[in-house]
Amino acid sequence: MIELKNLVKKYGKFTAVENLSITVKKGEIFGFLGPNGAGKTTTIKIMTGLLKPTSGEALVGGFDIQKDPVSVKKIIGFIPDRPYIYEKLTGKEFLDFIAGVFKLDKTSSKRKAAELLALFEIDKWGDELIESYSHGMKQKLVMASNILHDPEIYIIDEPMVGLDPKSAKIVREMFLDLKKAGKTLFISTHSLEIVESLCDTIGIIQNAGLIAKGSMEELRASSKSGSRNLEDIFLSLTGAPDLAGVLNYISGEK
Amino acid sequence: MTADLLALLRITSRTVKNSFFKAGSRGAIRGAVLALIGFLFLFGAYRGLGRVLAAFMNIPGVGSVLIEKLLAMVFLTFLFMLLFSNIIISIATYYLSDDMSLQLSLPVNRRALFLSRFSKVTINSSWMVFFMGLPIFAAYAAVLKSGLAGFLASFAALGLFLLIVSSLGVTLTVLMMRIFPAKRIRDFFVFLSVAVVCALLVFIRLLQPEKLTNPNEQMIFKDFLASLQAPSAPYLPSFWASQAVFGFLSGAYFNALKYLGFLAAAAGVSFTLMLSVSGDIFLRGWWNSAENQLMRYRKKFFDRIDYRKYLGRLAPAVREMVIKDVLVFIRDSTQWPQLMIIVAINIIYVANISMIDLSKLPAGYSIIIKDVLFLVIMGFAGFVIASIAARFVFSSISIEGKSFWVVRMAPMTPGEFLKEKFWINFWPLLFLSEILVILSAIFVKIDIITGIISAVMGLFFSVCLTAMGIGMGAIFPKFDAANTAEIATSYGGILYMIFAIGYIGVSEFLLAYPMHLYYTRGIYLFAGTESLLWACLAVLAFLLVQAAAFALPMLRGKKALERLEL
Repeated sequence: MIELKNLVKKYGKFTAVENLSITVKKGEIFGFLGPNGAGKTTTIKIMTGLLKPTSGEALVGGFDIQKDPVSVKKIIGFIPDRPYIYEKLTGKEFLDFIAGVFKLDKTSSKRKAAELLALFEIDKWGDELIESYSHGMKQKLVMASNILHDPEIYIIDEPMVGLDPKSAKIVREMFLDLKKAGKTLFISTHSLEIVESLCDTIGIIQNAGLIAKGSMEELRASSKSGSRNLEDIFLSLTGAPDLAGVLNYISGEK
Repeated sequence: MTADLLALLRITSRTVKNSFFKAGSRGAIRGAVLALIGFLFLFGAYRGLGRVLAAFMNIPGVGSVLIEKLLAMVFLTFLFMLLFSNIIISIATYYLSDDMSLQLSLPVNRRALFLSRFSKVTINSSWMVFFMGLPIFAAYAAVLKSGLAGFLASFAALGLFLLIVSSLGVTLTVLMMRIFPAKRIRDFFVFLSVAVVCALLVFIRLLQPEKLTNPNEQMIFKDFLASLQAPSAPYLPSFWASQAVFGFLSGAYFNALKYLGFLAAAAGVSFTLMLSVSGDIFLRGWWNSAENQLMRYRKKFFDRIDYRKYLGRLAPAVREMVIKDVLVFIRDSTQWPQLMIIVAINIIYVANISMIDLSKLPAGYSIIIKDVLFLVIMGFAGFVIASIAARFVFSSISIEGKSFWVVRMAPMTPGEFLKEKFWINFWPLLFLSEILVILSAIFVKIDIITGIISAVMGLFFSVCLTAMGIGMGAIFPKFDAANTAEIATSYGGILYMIFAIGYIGVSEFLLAYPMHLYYTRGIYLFAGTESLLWACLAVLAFLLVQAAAFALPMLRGKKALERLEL
């Protein structure tokens, strides 16, 4: 469903993504992990057509995002890490806007929009301007707008940022429901717990390149540390922090 | 406190330095182009004002009084403009700025924090007026034959004047913010400031300064100036500043120093006043604004209209973009002042045109005058349309702001998006330009054929200026602009105006000869084959220019959007 082939993205001399190849099958939840600045958001932006690769290909749903972006956009839903949306529209109006842009049936989309607002517990804010929403409320509205047009593929960048525990649980359950419905999810996140409990396949990116890929079991098997949990595997691959140094620094020891 | 203040000021200076170096060679080219344009503008202002002042000085007896009054009016206008812009910028800098929370949490001296922002407000609100001082003082210095010392001393008066207004603006803001929530106040003052500027524009236009060139009108104007009490208000700092500047430039040094003393004292008082509100009063106001960010939205008349019912024939994606654009425009009160500008520009235009009276022209010159008049009117109308398009059409892409990713993720091509933007901007612009052209035709009483040609030109202007605005808006987007005025005055906005004026000039140049042939048809019964051939070629070239002015920017804009990375 998603195929990234030898993807490279350079900004001048700086390489943000280096020769990245990933395949995600239909109905799979793919967890994309990596330290800050590793190239996760750049990869996602290339997949969604917001950035152009320096070289390589990104095929989404069988369509090349560079050659046929409209076909890709018809079948994907994108949830960015920073949910900038039209501040002068109300939540309901934004959902109407999305329904219209994706040519959804007016009556059923209205009903579904109301259900989604209620599901994410922002129905009381439906008639308020988005400018008065908190970060988490905007994030929930963007999620609702994506589910509204029912895409085949969800591309999600940091889904849990700004969400309260209850909303985070709703989102987690929602991801599982989407998987059951045969949808494909590409999730970039720092939440190892989410990845461990939801994802079929995990990819770890560091310094612009993919350093590990496989199921949780495969990662465990390949782990030199022999660790069982993802945090240890992740840290052994990307480098553990110098905790002793931190503790010494805080306690004032040299 | 000084160390804290310097540390905070260093943040600003480093931000400016970093953004300058980050821009690279492309930024340097842009900077050079803008500097050149700025220089040409200031030089043009100097030459233009110099001529006006020289003309005034030639009026026996009252010349000197008139230019002194004019300077007082200039400073009065500056006073109002600066006061309002200071308040608007203060609200953004003190209350809506993202980094204020961080700085308030730091153990820095609060007064130092307040003063670091005050310097930002003063520079951001006053730099334009400071630079405008160059051509104004230089023109006065040239006319009054003042030396360099007088010219430089004038800037001391201007500096104190700017400091007074800035201190008062910040003090007023802090006091108001103690009472009102931030978002409402800014919207209100953006609206009010442009309303005041528009009122001043209309007011100045209605003074009919061209009557000064007519000796019969001098007495009326003199009486009028005498009756105009406001610029002579002796208690306003604008008056002191104008007196000090005029004194330095005309050699009345005692008077100049007296008013400079007034300015210095007032600057001291207003600055102290501002410091007195920089403590608890400011902090309580900041808390107040932070608590008032979550205001409930009250539905208004425009929210109850079922737009989809009226726009049912449009393609769904286009229809939704249109509805979104309309709702955002209505609700964003920072856009309303733009409407005020349109009203003001139109009133000025119509007032100018209505004063042209062909019946008073000498009979022998009628053909030449008609020739020239057609070009002047169409040029003027074109310029008005281009100015409006720069505000609305050019900014229509950038106004999507950080939400532009939503458009990029919608299943529509950049071409479809540009088409939507074209049509939603084209119809209002066409409506406006045809009104301008028709009103011109009625006021100037031009013949029906010229009227029709003017209307057709109005159509071409609307099509091409819209296409150029949309295309160039896509090539030079400014998604991080705080308001639409910033978009129109950006690098791309200025380039748009230059291209738009160039397009109008070329279009007029190409139609000049065919129109001349048309006006001289009564004199030379047959124009001759060669002349007709040239006229046909000119019309053909005109049509080619129109096609290019429409297609090129739209195609380049589409390509730019396809290449655009977010």
